[in-house]
Order: sequence, then structure tokens, then C-alpha cells
Amino acid sequence: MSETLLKIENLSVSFSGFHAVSEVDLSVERGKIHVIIGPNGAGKSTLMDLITGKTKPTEGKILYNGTDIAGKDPGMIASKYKIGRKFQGPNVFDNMTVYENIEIALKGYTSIRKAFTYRRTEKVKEKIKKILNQIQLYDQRDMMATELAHGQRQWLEIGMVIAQSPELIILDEPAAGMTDVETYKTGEMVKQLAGKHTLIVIEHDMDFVEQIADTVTVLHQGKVLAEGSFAEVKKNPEVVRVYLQDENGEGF
Amino acid sequence: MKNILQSMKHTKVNRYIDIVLLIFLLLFPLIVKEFRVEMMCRYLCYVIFALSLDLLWGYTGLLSLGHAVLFGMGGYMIGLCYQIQSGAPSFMTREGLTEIPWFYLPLKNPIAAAVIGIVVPAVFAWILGSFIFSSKIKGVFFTIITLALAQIFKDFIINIQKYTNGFNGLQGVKRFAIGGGEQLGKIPYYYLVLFITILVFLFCMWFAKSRVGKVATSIRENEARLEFFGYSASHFKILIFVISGALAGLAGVLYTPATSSITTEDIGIAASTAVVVWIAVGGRGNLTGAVVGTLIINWAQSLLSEHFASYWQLILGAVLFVIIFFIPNGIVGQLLDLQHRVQMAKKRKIDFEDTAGVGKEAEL
Repeated sequence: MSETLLKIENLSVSFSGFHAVSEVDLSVERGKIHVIIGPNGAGKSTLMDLITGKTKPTEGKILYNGTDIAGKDPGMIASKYKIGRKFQGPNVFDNMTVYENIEIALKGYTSIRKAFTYRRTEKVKEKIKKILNQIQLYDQRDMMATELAHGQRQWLEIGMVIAQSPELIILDEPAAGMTDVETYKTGEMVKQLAGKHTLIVIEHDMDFVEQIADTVTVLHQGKVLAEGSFAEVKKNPEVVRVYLQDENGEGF
Repeated sequence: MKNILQSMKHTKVNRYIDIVLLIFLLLFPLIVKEFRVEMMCRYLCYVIFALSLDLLWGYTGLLSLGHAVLFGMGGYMIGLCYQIQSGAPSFMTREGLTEIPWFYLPLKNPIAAAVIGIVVPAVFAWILGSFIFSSKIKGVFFTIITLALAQIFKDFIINIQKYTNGFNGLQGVKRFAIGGGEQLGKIPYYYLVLFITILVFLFCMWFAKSRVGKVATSIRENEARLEFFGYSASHFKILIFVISGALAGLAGVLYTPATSSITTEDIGIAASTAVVVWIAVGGRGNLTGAVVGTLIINWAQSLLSEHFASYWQLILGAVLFVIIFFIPNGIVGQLLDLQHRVQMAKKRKIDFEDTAGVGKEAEL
């Protein structure tokens, strides 16, 4: 029996008349990897902005564990509702070491009082070490984030998101700009996160989507076009048509 | 023995500079004339001032061009203390103030004045910081506000002449003569200031290593990302501004007795930009840079002016230009960079040799 963690109902947002996301229904099962694909401008990142509170919806509900979090403050959504997000492109603390990057992201020490009482205890060290191993950057822990390769920077940010111990992890194009080998490694990393965490992943690379997806939702012009397993979606004639139409799309 | 060598290799290069500087400063009064010690004493106060700005600018990325305001608040408290020891001073009576104003009375005790000289700038920083950082003023706008503040504060001090003696400033400040007793000698005062400088430096080191310090660095690096982790960056910025303000005030409190005077020249835009230059030359965000930059520039300034009275500013300007153009990280920053690169290159070489046998891994 699977259980729904996130349920989006009739969600819409428009920016001065342009409907970036309109009447989207979506449900994400706990512990699964839900991939969202769609041509450029389909509203994928906007949808993520809505979930994380960066953008306020004009209509609709975002039920998270049964609570409507639509329009709540981003900081609150991150800490109280435990939704972590990796942004498009590496977004890390450049002139700090890999270790410090993870350490800052650790959950539970964000207030000034906690920042003063924080100690690098064995438990904390163990946790950071585990995350560094998960993202395969343990040997690079003393390097500055800016010295890492592009792919490693992406992993570092995934690590930072894990450090927040989120229930739901949102990854915005985690494999963008990576080599094939790196992309595959990223896929394995993401798959290991499923189960303990629930994941929403936005991605263009179809091999990567096939590697990781439990469910795929196709967005097109702000609306849900199709949903199902990768194999089902791939066969959907409408999806094929949209992707062929879109000259920027990667196609199947 | 091998362990010691091993840990020496991993010690950051600026720690060696710190130790050498410490020994040098401890021995300094034994090797030079007294008037040089007096100069160094003044520069040590500048060091504390520079450290206070380094926390704010170097670590948190908030460039203040009005930091001398906080320094001046400290300095003026001690300055006023010695003006009111025997009734209202002449600059007050001349303007018709025959009684010492009630709000100056707590300053009569030098120790109390010193404490007030630290608390007032801290509270001021707290109020100003609360306004600026809660309203999401960021980056260059913070700098512009502080710049305007420096000018306003200077004009204010000049304008309320009957309370501050205007642009004449306050003279005849004693080196902490308490209860009408003798003031401290120049050498003992030097060691007192050096001792406090060391304490401040250790505090800053602790701060930089603490989680608050790391949060400060994260604010500098990527404030938006930090807030997405659930941090309230503005609270941290206010806190750091307050700490920085208190330290700047402390620097002023020590400075005025060291020169026996404070004037509006010490609190305006010029003084505020000078400290920024010292840090830029030494290197920001590593503490040692602030110390090294302050001492080098100030000594260069006074030695050059002794030898090249007419065109020393030209020489100094050219040197500053060259340093900032060629090593934007500052002297100490550049050394740290170099050391880091060498270490990383070595590490990579070892890693490569370890995995070369396995073959494929090395290619990734």
C-alpha cells in the first residue's frame, strides 16, 4: 500500500495574464521518485516554486501530509514541513569547504541560540561523513566548493539538501551539464535516496528519467498532459507529438 | 616528531605569521625608542578597529564605509571623560553651558566611560542594523547608507560644538588615570593595549570558527541559499554588526588615550575608507590580513612621510594600486591561496598514484 505525501489540487498561477501553471492536479507517493518532464516553458520550475513557497499560487491547494501549504513562507516550508530543494544549476557556498557546506545545511541549528550551542560532536561528524560518502565527496571534503568539477558541485548541493533531513526532496535538473558517466552516478545516488525520502525530480535527459522514475508526469503549457510509468508515457501519442513539435525538446 | 611535522604542514600559513608578529610585538618596546612604541600602540588600536571591520566585511560580506563612526563613539566617550574631570570645560562655558550636562556625568569615571564607549556603538549598531537588515537592504545599498552616515555623524559632532568642541576635537586625554592618580606610562599602556589586542584577536578566531562565523561566511557567499535552509540571515547580520560595533568602540576607547586626543578627522569618511584599504591590502576574511595590512600601511605611511615629506602619498598610492591590482586577495590572502593550491596539488598527485593501478577510476 502506498500513501500520498503530496497532493496538488487545481493549482494555478498567472503572471500578468500569462498562465504559467493552470489547473494542475498531481499526487506524489511517499518514498517514490516522481519525475516531471516537459518542454521548456512548460511550467516545471514554476510548479516547484509554488511547492517551496517561492511563488504564491493564484488558485488551488497544495496538500502536504494533509495540510495546505500553498502560499506559506519559504523558510517555514523548508524547516517545518521538511521540504528540501536543489535549485537549477549548482547553488552552493563557493568559498567554503565541502565539509562546511554540508555542515551549514545540517538541520536543526538555524537559530542564533542553536548556532552558539552547536558543537561538532561525534554524532554530527558521523552524520556529515555519511552524507559525504553518499554523494561521493568524502575525499574532497577539504576542497573549496569552487574547486570542484561541475558534476561534483551538483552532488554537493544534493548533499546539502540531504543534510536538512527533508521528507520531500525536490531536484531541479540534477544532471544538467553532466557527462554520461556522472549522470548515471547521479541516477544511482538519487535512487538510493528513495524510500527514506520522497523525491520530485525535474529532468530533460530521457535516459536519466528512465533510470530513476517511478512515475512520470508530463507538463505542457502549464497543464498536465500525461502521467504514468516511463514506458506508458513514452508510448502516449500526445506526448510524442508535443515533444516532436518543440524544436528545443530533446525528444525520445 | 613526525606527528609534529605532519601537523605543521597542515597549519595554515597565516598562523605562522601570527606567531612571528606576536613575538615581534612583545619585544618591540625593548628594541626601539619610546616614541616608536607610542606609534605602535596607536596602530594596535587600529588593528582592533580593522579586526572589527574584518568580521563585518571580510567574513559577512557587508562593506561598511562608515565604520569610523562606531570607532569615534568609543573614542569620544573617553575623550569627554577627561574634559569633565574638573567642572565644565572651556568649550562648554564659552557657549554658556556652566554645568556639566547630566548625561555626561556617568562619563566621569574612566572605567565607566570605557564601558559606555563599548556599549553605545553596540546599541547604535543594533538599532541601525535592525532598520537596515530587516528592510532587506542589501549589498551596495548598505555601503552607501554607511557612507552617508559617516558624513552625517562628522557634521553632527562639528555642529554640536558646545558638547564636543566641534572640529577642534578633544585634547589632553590621559592614559587611564583613575581616581585622580597617575596615568599609565607609555610602555605599560602599550602592553595593556597589546594584551587586549591579543584577546580581541583570539575572540575573532573563535568567532570565525564558530557556527555563527560559518553562517556569516555563508551570508557572504550566498545569502538566498542560506535562507532556503531556514536561516534568518537578517538576525545573524544584526548580531554580527553589533559585535563589530562593540569592537570598533573598544578600539576607539583605547585609541584616544594612546594619542591623547580625538578629533573629527578620526571619525569621518576618510578614516572609514582608510581602514577598508588596510584590510584590502592585508587580505580580508582571515584576520591575519587585517593585522598585517594595518601595520604595514600605517608604518609605511609614517616612515615614508618622515623620509619623503613632499611626495610620500604618491608613493603609497602607487604601492596600494599595485597591490590591489595584482593581488586582489591581499598579501595574506595570496599566501593562503598559494599554500592551499600546493596542498591540493600534492593531494591530487597522491590520489592519482593510489588509483593509477586501478586504471579506470582515475579518468573520472
